[in-house]
Amino acid sequence: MPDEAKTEQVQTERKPTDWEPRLIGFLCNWCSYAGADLAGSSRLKYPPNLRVVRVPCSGRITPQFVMKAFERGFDGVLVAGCHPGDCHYSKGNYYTRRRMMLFKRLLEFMGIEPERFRFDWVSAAEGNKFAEVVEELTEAVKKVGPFKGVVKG
Amino acid sequence: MAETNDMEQGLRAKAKELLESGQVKVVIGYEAGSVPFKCAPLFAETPEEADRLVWNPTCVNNLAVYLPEAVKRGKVAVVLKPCDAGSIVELIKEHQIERDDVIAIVVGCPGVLSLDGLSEMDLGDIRSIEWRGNGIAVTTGAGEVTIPREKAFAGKCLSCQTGEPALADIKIGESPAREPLRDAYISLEEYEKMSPAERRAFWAKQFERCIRCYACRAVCPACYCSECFVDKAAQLWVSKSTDPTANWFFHMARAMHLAGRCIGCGECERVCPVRIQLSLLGKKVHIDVEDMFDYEPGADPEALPVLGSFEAKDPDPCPE
Amino acid sequence: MEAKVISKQDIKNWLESLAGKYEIIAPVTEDGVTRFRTVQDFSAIDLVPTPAAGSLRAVFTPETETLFEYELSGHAAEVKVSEAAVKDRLIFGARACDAAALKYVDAVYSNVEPVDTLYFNRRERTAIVGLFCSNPSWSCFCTEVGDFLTNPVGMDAYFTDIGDKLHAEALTPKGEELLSAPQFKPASEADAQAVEEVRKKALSRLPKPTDHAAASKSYDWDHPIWARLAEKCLGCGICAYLCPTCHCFDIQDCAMGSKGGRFRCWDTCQFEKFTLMGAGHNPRPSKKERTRQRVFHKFKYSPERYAVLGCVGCGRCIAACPVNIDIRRVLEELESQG
Repeated sequence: MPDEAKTEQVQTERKPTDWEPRLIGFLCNWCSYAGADLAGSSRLKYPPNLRVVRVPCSGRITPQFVMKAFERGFDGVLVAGCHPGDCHYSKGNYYTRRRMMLFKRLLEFMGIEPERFRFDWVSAAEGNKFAEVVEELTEAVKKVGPFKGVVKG
Repeated sequence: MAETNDMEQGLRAKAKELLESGQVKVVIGYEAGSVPFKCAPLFAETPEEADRLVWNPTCVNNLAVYLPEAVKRGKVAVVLKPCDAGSIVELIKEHQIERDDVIAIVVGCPGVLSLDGLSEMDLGDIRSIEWRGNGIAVTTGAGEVTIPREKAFAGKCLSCQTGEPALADIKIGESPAREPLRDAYISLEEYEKMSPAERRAFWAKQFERCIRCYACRAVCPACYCSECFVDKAAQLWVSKSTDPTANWFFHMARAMHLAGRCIGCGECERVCPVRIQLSLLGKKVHIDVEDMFDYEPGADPEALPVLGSFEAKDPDPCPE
Repeated sequence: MEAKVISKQDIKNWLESLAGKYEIIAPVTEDGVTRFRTVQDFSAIDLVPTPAAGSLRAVFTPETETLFEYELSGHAAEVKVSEAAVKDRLIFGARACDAAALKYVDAVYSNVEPVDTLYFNRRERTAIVGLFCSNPSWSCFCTEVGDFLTNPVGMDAYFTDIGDKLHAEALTPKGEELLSAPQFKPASEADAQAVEEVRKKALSRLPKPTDHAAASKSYDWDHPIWARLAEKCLGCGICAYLCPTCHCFDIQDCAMGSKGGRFRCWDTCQFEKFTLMGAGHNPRPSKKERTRQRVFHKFKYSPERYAVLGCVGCGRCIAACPVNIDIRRVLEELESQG
């Protein structure tokens, strides 16, 4: 069945009249998810556009997760993990770093605007940083506009 | 080139010796194909069969693809072009074969044919093809025609640096020292002039053609997974439909799965029945891996797999 | 109806006059690949490659085809069943092998109930104009498996290139209707003579007939060739995907939330998982069984079941096989031991 149908599925659920980017974030449980939590409990204001998927470690994130998000029509994707050296599982984020830095280049090569994919470190104490990252990603994606599909003109 | 016949003779002699002495169970090489401009893989188990080995411009296949299965029979010798030898390095690194399971026979290579180039020349009744000077000599019903390398050879041969192969137990002949005719990455330079929208349109056109025959996967020595991600139905990564978006997912994921493992043999592009420019993806990932991690796939059997290792100084999203 | 000719310059306006009534499908070359595509720009038609890389298979059973879609609301479901092509279509430039292959696939798809209506709706609404192969490829061997090159089946009209014009023969009432267009003029003696010469020249490059169906009765299940083919075969499936008589497909469901559907897509017995059963058993566990299956299905089971050989000698498998498995050599070897 054409995956266009799935893309439509994601788009039709939007309610606001002005277009709002639909973002997804893959956050590691121990650092970036905790950082997001801290942003919440600190009552920091940041755009509501991000849906969060919690993973045990950023090392769990295969490029296929990001590809799936774009395939399904998300306008932007965030991958966040612990700072190098702080991984709860010691090394997971080092593998993430190589993988995601390489993948970022490939995404841009394939014609997906670099503004749509953000890979960053957010620690459990960085509530402010998390809010900033989401703010920046939302603004950047607003500027490039709605995602029209991985291989559409 | 009389020298080339020597290489073929030398190869046959060496193969016979390996089989007669019982050092190997089988010698994987090339033999004459069903037509003069193609060859076929040969699995020679006896000295008589080894006499059918050939080494000529039609020998395009990367025979390393057979190794993980073949070494189950016992020790195997395999004929490799210098460019293909890198595949063995990666297979050993990933423990698909043990170093001692294989005897790598690396042949000197002046360059191999592009069948496209040949058919464009419409030479008619081809009888034989051999290396001559800087290119090839084709004998047809009407006589002999010499063709320079820029018209005859595969694209990858025109940018070949003819350095030392990464791994060789036996060397038969030497590759002629030659200046590459063009940059291996010229296609990338052209491509990168396109805007994001143009790139998406480019791939839309490419992936509209993909029929998901998976020939690219089947011919690739690095694609040896017993269950490929596209074959999973229970956790469906990618739809089996040939919708361009699904095709995109397959090729993107495959490009990442091959990151730092693809040695650029170009077989995927050669076999694709609808001519998808797969080498663009492979080259892009290759050049980034080299640039970011100073890593060359197929070069060093002792090096750790690039995405299975890391260094403190790796490129970072928030450099200090 | 007597034979006609049409000047090559008139092809374009003949097709244009049909474009209102028919969707015109013809071979088009893009990035070096020639496939049958819907054309609006008739100057893009490329009749040169013999045969085209893609067969007519995709014209009648697309690589991916939605069978039905549904949408749930509460306990009710709205189901939309797919209809096949709603427009009449004309294939221009089909080859004799590809048209003959359609007759074979007709037999397969109509063999059991329910009949494949998506396929037959398209078949009924598609007229086929064939083109004689003046320049057979090195891999062509249609004359070995049938005489349809000179006695075409499965098409409405048959054209032959005789220089600045195309000679045209109607083979069905539909063909007669097509050839009654004003661009067609009666063929002369000289035209008929030119056709003879073109035919003779092409046939001289093609092999003699062999009765593979009869020979297949004594094919050896345990022939040593299967193990040898299994060694070099990569299981890539290109042979099946380019083959005009291949017709196997997989059916997959997809669902997301309240919407979903079912589609079919091409599949091949050359893939390991093709015969993998739910409990894990695989009756064709290795390439030995699978390469044998391909040959037996086309040359033995098909004549037994449908009285028609499952191969039309188009040679695409020979040209495309990455490891030079040449079906002609395989058959020679199978049949040489008597």
